[in-house]
Amino acid sequence: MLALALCPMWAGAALPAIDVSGFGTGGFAITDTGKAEFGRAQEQPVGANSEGDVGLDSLLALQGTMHLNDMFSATVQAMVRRLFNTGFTLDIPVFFVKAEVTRDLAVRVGRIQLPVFMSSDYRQVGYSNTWIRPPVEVYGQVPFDSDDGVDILYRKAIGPADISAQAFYGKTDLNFPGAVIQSRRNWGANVNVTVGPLTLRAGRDQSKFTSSSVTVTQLLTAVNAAGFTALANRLNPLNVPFKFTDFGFSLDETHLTIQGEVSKFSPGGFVASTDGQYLLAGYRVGKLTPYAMYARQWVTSERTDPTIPRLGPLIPLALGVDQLINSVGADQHTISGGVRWDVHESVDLKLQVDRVSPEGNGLFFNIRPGFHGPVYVASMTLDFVF
Amino acid sequence: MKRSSKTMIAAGLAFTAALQQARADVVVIVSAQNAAAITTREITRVYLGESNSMTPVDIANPSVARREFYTKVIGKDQAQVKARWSKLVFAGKVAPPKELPSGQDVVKAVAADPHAIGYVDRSFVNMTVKIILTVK
Repeated sequence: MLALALCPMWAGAALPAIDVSGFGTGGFAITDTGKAEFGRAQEQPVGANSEGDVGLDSLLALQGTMHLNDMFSATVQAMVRRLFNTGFTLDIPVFFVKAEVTRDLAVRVGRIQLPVFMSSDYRQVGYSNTWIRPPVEVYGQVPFDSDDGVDILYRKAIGPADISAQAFYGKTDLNFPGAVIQSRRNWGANVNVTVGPLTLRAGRDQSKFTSSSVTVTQLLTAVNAAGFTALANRLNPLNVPFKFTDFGFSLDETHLTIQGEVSKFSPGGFVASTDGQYLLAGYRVGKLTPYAMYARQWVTSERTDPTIPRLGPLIPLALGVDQLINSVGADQHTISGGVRWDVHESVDLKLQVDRVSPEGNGLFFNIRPGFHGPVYVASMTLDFVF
Repeated sequence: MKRSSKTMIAAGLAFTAALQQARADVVVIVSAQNAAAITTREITRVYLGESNSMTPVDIANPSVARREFYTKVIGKDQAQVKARWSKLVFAGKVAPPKELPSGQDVVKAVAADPHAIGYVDRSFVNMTVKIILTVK
């Protein structure tokens, strides 16, 4: 986190101070199957398979904060990573103006990280996390990770407890290849309480979302044409609710580090409701932190829809509907083991092996015939901050 | 005679200073205007970015005082501390501690801000700041 002294040109004038910092990860992941791809988030259309993949975890981000005066600052974060297409893309996941109203209260306007999970704000910062990547069973539940709008941040030390709270309002637009997602009236809040090594967090967010894609529209048009109008309307993701609740904890002692979250996702339209859970435990021995993690997701909504009778020419339509309601969310669990090595003050090296057990295709994608679990994923990353 | 005794005193002082340097007699300071009682636990909370009750100031690396302070008071190595602050900084929520080049600068900054807290070698301490903890 170095400060940049700018500009011979304006020398003499009082120039705002700019802090420049950044983070990055160089990674490689490989699985033991060529019949499906393993991903870390819904934003990546390709994933790792038995040919190996550097795009899964690799990224580079630069953040600049300009301090305009004691109250106002402006922050921009630029990131290069695999996003929405097969190659690397530059995007601006964060930009906001922040007003520090008091020592305890700040207001930000702009694009912020959508704070759905405990680690949402820094999920891309490999160096700040024990794991190589957040568990896809939990962090893969929500396809958005940013919010355009406003938030209020509150921090206060009360006795032995440090409280931090956040409330936000805004919208999100995502352009996937072949699908557009609009999330409107995003709002939510979260509270973190830290006492000694223990932190507890509770968060809630909700919105109305609309997703449009050609394949979904074609199917729902056919369902409607066959006379199942109510079903077509119910499955249509047009201005439907999106509700997400998450509870998390972390315990960070000198040697022992444990964290976990439980999450509940209840969307509308064809998108399945899911629950997610994970628990991670690590033990620091000098510069090495061996760790283990267990994560799972399961679908809590109906997996088949009985509305369309499975008779004669209707069979393909009924199967199409079942395929649609199973297209997002799945039953899957993963056991991971890894080690983090703090090579230097700002650099770590990690190795991780995951044993992923999907039910059917689970959360894997680009499936080819004959795919089955369990799948082993081996990954290595080098994380750094500067 | 006069000259040589002066030289000896200077040499003695230099030797004492060198000894102090090696022992790194580090103290935690706040502004002389700050009357609050501050516990070690509170210092830790502030330097880990958990509590915003005070504004922490760091000495730029490499620094013996910094290493002593984080190892003995905070009880974490600097990699762990960096990992924690990176969470807050890249979340855009909290600015990292200001890094100042020397103990003199730390004393100056702490004296000027009743919310500020810093650590320096005892030799830098003057009337404008108050020692709240001696690092042992």
